[in-house]
Amino acid sequence: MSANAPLEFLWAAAGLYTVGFAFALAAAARGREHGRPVFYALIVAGFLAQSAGLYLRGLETHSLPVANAFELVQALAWVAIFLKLILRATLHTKLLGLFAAGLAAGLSTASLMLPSARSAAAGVAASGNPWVEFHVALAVFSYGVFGLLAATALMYLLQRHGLTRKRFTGIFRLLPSLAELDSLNRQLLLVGAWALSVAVGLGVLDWIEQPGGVSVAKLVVTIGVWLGYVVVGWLRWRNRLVATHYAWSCVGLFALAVFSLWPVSAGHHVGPPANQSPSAPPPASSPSTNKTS
Amino acid sequence: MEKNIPGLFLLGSTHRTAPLEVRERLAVPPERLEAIYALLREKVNLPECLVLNTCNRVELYGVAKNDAEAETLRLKLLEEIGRLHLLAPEEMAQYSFWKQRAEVIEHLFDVAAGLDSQMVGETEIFGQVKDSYSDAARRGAAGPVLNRVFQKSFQAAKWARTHTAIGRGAVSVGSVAVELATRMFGDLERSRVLLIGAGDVGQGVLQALRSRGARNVTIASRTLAHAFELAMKHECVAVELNRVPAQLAQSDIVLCALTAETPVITRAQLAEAVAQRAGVPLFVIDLAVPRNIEPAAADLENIFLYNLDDLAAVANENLKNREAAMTTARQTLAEKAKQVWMALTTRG
Repeated sequence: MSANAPLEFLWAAAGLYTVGFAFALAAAARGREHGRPVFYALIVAGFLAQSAGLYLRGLETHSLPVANAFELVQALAWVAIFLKLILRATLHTKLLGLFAAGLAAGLSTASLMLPSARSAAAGVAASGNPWVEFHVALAVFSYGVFGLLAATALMYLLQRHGLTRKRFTGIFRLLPSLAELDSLNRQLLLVGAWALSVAVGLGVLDWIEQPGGVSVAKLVVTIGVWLGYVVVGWLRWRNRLVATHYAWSCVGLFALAVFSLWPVSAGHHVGPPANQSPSAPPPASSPSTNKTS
Repeated sequence: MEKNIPGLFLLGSTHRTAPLEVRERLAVPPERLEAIYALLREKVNLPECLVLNTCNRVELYGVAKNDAEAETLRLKLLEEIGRLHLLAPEEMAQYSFWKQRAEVIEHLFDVAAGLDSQMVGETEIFGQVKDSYSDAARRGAAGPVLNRVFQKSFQAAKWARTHTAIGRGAVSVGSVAVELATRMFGDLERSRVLLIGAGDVGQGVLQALRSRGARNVTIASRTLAHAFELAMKHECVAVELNRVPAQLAQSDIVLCALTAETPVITRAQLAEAVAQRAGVPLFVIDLAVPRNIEPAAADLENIFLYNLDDLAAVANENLKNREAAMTTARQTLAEKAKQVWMALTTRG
């Protein structure tokens, strides 16, 4: 297999997500629901290609492919699609597939434009501490949930815009009701905030144990994002942040969360380089512990 | 290659060929249906026949022994049916239409799909066609030809509804209000409706909302007795008009249809109500002319204010879209009808 195979798979995934999104959007713009078999075939194919790309990328360093911003954004898009696919049986929300595909297409394509996409896989080596691995998995999961939340918040804003501006054709007539979207937004925020809270808690415990393992910038940014979601959730629960303000907050916070991946990934202490055996000792200049979030 | 051409024909009278007065005379009440079937089967000797009777059409579908015999049946049917309805054959001919062969199938496809209805794309006709077919089948009047043609018409109607825009979008004020309410609240069963005024327009919209599940209704009127009377009819609560401001915050959908020279609900009252609703939108429909609600209320966050013109504009736009979709639907259904006819004539 060529050295570029992971990137080729990831480009294929981005392409398939984009085609799936465009296919569903074209139907929605005409006020029609998209053909599900074609749409899901494209999205599942994209998901499999992305899974293969991330797997091969991970194989290069025998570690989780979440070492830099490119890999983190890819993982985030992967989680968002994974959630949409596994929750398909319970989440019957109309057009959520379209928006999830749009989110995945946007994130995966944008991440492939990043300079870190062209650099060799750095990898985050297994720390040997299962709680740290759990922390990573939960943090990526929560960001994926927040991605879906941003998508549903955008749907809410679009529906409101349509109702306020008296738009009735095209995508507006297909969007779910405000009540359904508001309820979904609350549930997604609750799930994401809980997952991120546990992830941050585990990260903080590890930081207390090994204060040098994580940069202060990463710690501050991660806690900032977590705090943002917790505050928004609390204000929503108290009915102090509702309707458009709440939806815009969810969209804004997700944008912030995505941009925060740069300082977060910069705060990693990466594992062994690609050409070095993962079992070999790390270079002297590199700390012995490897963590991420 | 046509081997054995079935004598498929149709004699019908619809809103397109006859005025209401004539359609009233041609209407077939259930008790007279048996007589019509007896006439078609025993007097006219039709091996297969079916009567489709709705408020806008009476159509007799029949299959003669062969195509040539069907040609000769028209006059006889005009006479016999005319006699039943006390209409001269000339009058019957004036207000009816006659079709044979593939044209019958094409027409039936259009009817079942709602393309031939007064309100293009309406779905009620599909159920009526199905019921008429079931009735004919139960009487043993529908045979192999009509069975195939009607079964195919159900498939064609479903295709048209799924693949074209003929049934999309509400086309009456009441159904537009329901569509909008559904976009805000989803399931209307838990939505609370406040109707202010007891006029026909307001009641029409209320009826549409109730048909979609809205059960929690309060009616306010200038005359409490009138409000009570309506409340009894709709199984809901009646209040005096002066209690309306207090009711606003508790309502999800407010229908205003009161005859008044000046607005009866102010922007300030709505602002106060919406502040108590914790972000839940308030759908306000002003059906009155002059308007009952200060137009400035439309600027309030979480208030969706629609007036009669807004609703009518939506209905008209939807109707235009439906009509635009008719051409496509008709063309495809005509093709499908031809295929069914070819299958009937080649398979025998």
